[in-house]
Amino acid sequence: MKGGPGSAPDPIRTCFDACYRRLVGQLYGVCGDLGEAEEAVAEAFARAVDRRRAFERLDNPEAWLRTVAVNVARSRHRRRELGDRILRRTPPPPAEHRDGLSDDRMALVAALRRLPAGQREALALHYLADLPVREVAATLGVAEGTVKARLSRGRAALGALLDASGHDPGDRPGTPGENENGPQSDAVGGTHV
Amino acid sequence: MSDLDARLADDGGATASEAARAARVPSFDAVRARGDRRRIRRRAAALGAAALVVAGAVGVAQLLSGTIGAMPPPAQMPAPGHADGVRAVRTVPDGSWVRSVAAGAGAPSTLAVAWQGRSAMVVAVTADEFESRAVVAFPTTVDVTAAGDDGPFVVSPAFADDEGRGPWLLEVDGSVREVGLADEPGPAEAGEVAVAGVADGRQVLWAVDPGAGVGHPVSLPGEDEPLGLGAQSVAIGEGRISALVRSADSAGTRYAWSEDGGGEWSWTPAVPETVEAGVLTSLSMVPTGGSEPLVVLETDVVDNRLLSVHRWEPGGTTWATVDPVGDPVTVYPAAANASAGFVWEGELRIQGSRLGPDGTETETGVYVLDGDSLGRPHRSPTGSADSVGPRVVGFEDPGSGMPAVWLVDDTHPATLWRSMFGGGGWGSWPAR
Repeated sequence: MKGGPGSAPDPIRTCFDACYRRLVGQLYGVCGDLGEAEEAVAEAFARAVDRRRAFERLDNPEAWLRTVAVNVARSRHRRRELGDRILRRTPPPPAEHRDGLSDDRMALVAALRRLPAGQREALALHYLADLPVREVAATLGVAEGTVKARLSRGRAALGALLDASGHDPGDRPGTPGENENGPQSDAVGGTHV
Repeated sequence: MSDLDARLADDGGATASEAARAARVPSFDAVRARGDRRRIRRRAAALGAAALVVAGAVGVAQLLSGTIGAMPPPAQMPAPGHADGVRAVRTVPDGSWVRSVAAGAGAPSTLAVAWQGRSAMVVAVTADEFESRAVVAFPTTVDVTAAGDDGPFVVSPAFADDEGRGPWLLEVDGSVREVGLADEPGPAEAGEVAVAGVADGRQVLWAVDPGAGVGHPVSLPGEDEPLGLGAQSVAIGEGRISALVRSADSAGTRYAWSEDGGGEWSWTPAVPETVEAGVLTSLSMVPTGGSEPLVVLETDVVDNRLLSVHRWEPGGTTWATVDPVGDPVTVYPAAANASAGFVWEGELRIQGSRLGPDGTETETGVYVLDGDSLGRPHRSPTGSADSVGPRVVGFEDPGSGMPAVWLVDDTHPATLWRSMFGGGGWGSWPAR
């Protein structure tokens, strides 16, 4: 559908213009890498195009896109991790550095990458994306109590990780040793709690 | 409050805002084109899965007319060498995945396996369980359908190329000839094999006479609808051809079926799809025939969890819907959004995994729907919680009362698994 003189604007395009950047921002902490977040959100919009009729009936299309993007990111990670195991690949390289992202925040996101997926998703969406617990629960498809538990455990785990590694989240991401001993080197996925 | 707690609490969305500003925004046209391609692939894949649910080694029309075994012997095929855009190759390229499987009736030593690679589409065919083989590359994405106990196989385009080539007939020695298609549509007759495919961006159905090497289109309901509407998917069961149809003047998806090879079609009202904010669903038909009900699975497009099973009993007047209780089961699509369900001894069986509240998948296997419960599954012969579980890639229903289902685990695609016990026991077969 293309907007033209006298025609209604494409609702998916309208949503894309309004929400794309915001969704990428919210997914950044979940994915641990800005490029992966961009890819997950673009795929969510592609799925909306694929299911245009149903998408246009949604009450809250942005929430749906966020959930789809989180699931896309999880799914891609699981497949990639499985492939890595089969092929005995080395851990993935550190996240791409992008202009506009402060070292300080990249370091925090890099630290989050070492957490189990459920904890990371909850911490990223609640603290870094500033979504209320209820909205995080809706996005992840879990109970609010589960989100609260993940937030609590996630904070504790993150603190323990940082203490054990001697890293401060203000350290540069991707410094040597980051992937060597961490309990999880994944960007998305891993063990849920 | 620790430094870390303070830092998290003080972020207040600043990290997301910073990332949002740093994000690269693709052109919407590119995203839209990607979505359009995805839709086309999904439709093509659904068709491909429908094609492989053809009645084992004989065509639906033959089953209708009770002419099993009465098919004239295949005509002598030309020596290997090849229709336009088709060529013999040495091997199945590494990294390819199985699209569909078709087998000769009974002990399936005669097999054709369609492999999709990154840059090549090939079919591996054998008469001795791949102790020897022929491998043939095709110019477009294809699926396979058995057309006789010992071949040939109908190779049908699942993604139409610009030149509209195919379908083809593939013999077990690798010889190929393109089916001579007439323009005039008509129902599938005795001696013809019904196969689904894609042409001109639409779902189509062909009736192919494997002996004569000719075929013709079979009219599908909704052909007058605009591109994108009309038949969304086609399934072929024992003596029954089914289609899910969308039309411009209807808000829902209707089920149409024919029990005379596509001559006349019966219709249901719209399938009662889930209407819930934030939930997008997909419908897929379970191929059924004979006196079995029409069955549609409704799954969540995001995680493929089974939401509802819709049934329409023969002679019925309304859809009956069951929403399975307990932890959800995520249904592994046979190919994209195609159905992973099948009917075995009157029971609806579904290949899937139990989806835990934390998103992990366990108990991968064939589930039996009992009332509104899916119970414990017959475990799959392979796969693990880490993998995307084994997919149904073929179903033989030769009308003998001994249907068989084929699985492949994409992490070990060189092995196929076949069960004649509705998933209760498995045997392995080489896949290439």
